[in-house]
Amino acid sequence: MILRTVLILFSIVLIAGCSGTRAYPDSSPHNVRIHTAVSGVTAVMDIHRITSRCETEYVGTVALDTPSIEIAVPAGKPSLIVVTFLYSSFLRQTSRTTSYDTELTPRAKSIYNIHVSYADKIYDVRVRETDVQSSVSRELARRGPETCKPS
Amino acid sequence: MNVRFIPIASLLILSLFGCVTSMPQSPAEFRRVIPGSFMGNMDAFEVNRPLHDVASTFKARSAECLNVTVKSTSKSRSSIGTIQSSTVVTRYKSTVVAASEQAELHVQFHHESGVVGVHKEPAGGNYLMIVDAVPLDKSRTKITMYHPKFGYDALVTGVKGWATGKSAGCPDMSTVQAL
Repeated sequence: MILRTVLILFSIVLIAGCSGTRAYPDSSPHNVRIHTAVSGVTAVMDIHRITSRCETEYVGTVALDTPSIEIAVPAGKPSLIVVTFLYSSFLRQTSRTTSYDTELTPRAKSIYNIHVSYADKIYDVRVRETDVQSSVSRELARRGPETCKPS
Repeated sequence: MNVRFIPIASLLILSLFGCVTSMPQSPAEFRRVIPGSFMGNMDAFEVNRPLHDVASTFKARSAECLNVTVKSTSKSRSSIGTIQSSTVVTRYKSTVVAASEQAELHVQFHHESGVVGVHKEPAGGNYLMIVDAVPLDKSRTKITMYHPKFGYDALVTGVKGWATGKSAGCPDMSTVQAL
């Protein structure tokens, strides 16, 4: 597992070059659970803060190398979640990436389950919001950064 | 996408339409050319879903999954030992045309850089796939897909999943043309 983590982080560094990729800071409470099931690719999640001017500020990267990871995304503030799937073949000297992004503004008393899957060249990212008190949950439609309106 | 295969992919695209001097300029022309072409394929099947549901899925999923731009980079070593890097940028565009008696999904592509176009492109790019959905009755729909035979399995699998309702996942468009 340690070797795998090292390889994934190494891949992230390779992808990013010297662009300043850093681990997403761990804080609490954990309000976002990421469930990952990918095969044939490496998956990472970048989290960006969205400013009132609809500009994004990179916060950090989470390596989606375990089936379940919990992180904290600030409640009440919009964030941009970017999931990137990386395929790289050293022998063939090729690489390709596919990204999926969506805006997420967590509510204070809700938890979020993000299901990330990739298999047979088909990927899916689903975000489900669950109210902690009522247990009512709903799937959130994707909201791309283009939907942001400056305030 | 492996850029070393771009020339092959381009040749296959051309062979889709035989020895023609132009690419199909409309969905109707694409439908007419694909069945008789060497590398073209036409699939027809029925799904147990009403046309309205199929059309809604096409609209929602194609907007999310198929309107993407893919950048691919590949490195190769030349005969004198230098490393050469190639980058191809391809923009995909989907359109859903829905009416009470038919729904259509059109997928087009345009190479923004890295590939020199030699044929006139229709507005929005060359056609890559056309999917027709027509109602058989209130709860069943006939799907007909026109697409290249090889190299586009992710796209075909993804759209079939939307039509049947079995999968809502997005095809990884970076794998398209990876022969």
